[in-house]
Amino acid sequence: MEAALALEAHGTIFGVRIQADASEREWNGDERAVTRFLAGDVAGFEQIVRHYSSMIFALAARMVGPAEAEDVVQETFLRAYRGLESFRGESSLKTWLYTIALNRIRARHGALARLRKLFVPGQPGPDREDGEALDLVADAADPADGPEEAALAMERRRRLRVAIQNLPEEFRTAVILRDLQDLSYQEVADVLHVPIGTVRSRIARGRALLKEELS
Amino acid sequence: MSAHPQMARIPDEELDLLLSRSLDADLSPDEERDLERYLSGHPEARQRRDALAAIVADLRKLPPREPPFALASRVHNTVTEKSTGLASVWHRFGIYPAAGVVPAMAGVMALGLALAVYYDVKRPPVVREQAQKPDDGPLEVFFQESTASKKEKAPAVEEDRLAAKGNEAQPAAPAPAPPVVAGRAQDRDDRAPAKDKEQARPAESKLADASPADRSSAGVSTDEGGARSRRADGPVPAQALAQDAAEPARPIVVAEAPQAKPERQGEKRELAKSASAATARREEASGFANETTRVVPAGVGSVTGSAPAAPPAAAAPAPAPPSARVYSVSISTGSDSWRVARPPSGIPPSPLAATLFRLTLDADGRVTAVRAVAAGGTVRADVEEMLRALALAPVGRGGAREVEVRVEVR
Repeated sequence: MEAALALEAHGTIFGVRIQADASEREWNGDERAVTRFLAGDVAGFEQIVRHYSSMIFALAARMVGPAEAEDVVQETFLRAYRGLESFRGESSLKTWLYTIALNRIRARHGALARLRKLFVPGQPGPDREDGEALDLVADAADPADGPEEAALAMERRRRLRVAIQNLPEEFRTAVILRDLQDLSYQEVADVLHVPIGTVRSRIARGRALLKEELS
Repeated sequence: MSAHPQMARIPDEELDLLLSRSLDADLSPDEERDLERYLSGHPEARQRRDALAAIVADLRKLPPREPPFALASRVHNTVTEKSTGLASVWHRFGIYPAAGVVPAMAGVMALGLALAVYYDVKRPPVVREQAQKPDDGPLEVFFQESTASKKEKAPAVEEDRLAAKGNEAQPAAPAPAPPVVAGRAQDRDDRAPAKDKEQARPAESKLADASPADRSSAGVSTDEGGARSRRADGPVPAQALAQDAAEPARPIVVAEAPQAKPERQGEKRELAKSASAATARREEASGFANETTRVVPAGVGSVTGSAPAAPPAAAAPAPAPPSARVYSVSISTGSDSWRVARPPSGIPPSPLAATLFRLTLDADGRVTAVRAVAAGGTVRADVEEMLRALALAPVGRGGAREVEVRVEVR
């Protein structure tokens, strides 16, 4: 049990869901974790990593593909580790981490895309294929659906993912943060450092583009 | 007729915004009501809303990407490791190099540095000089008087010493009288007995012995304007020394004839010799030709003033004057086409008869002809040789094949 607890708070080993010790794994909130960390207790930062790493990974996987997502998560938390002392709580820890992650994603994605365009013109980015490969595994069909419905649903999701990837970056980020990461308009505005009106129009425009793409 | 008054058609983009906000429950109750009224009157808007709602529903049903197993533990361990190791230096600047990138970059940089050093050493000196002086401003050349030129002047001093010794050895002989530059008869007469002892000491050491305050009376006269002393690079004209001597307020060293006055013809000759010797002594005492303090040795003739002779043991070298002369070579006309790339190797004579010269160049900037702008166009041979050694470099595409060059000696 001790070893299992050391692995992951909500991991699955041999199909058995591990329930973490409540006193050790309970999320105490951003402020408390930050306070612990700033007091010199590394366990405070560990709590932050455990709570947010899945969200950051999901965002990174959507943006750059799962192959690079783990690196993005590491870089994000490495930066957070160094910058947490200067974190003033003007925004929430969640939006602060998302902002760092998006900056790292832009840096990696931009550099990779430029390199790929330079050396292999016309080749799609790595996130498309890798992402689709992973989603085929993740998109387990609903057992209630018949084979035909399951196949149609999978095809619809595949097309949707492709459509998302084809969106311009500013619309894609806004849509992913709102519809896939479930951030509020205000949180999206905080992450992107844009006015909330801009967020509304970007999300609306992104959704409209998706509709056109899929219709 | 519809129960609702016909509402003006909302543009698609604006309608999409309202529908999108409606799906996120971001509209106020009034806005929501107005939208519902509009949708009830516009079936195409309702279709648009339904399609958009389906897309949003699909988006939200997309399964989240599951993180890899034990991601949080790995990330935490990696972060704590990197935050304490050498890599933290890179990460502090926002650099996350892949493994092996840093050594590779260091190797490339070392190779580049080595190549740069190698080619810099291999580059010929002229090219290096051009690279260092991209501007076409005046090229100033500092130079120290060579020992050769000092040695050339040394015999004059030695000649004076020998003459003085000769006087000592044969005091009664009616030797050719030392030149009289200027002086006051009573001073000469008053100090005549001390002269012989004074002659035994080199003039320079005596000058060094004297305190700065006493120097003016001990034979060191400071030129306030410095105009004449700056001319003293070459032989100082006797007339100039005579003018100095004629000024009553300024103590002037007098090289005198103690007994016999020379004949007029001999006097002129000796005057010139004395002036030349005095110049040589001055330069020897100062060490440099363009010294602004004129030094005239007191040992040859009688000395005006009443400076006590310091003991020879206290002799010390004269204070070092500024150690360099300078001349500048600049292109006055044609500087937009050519620039001086390398100074000439020679040292211009001073004073120059002409300072402005017109040079004819070939396509490579080599000087093919030299003419003085003034002085009837004639150029002294040594000046011409010096100017022909100039290396000019084109500015842009070069251009005119004639430039005017100014040479100034300071």
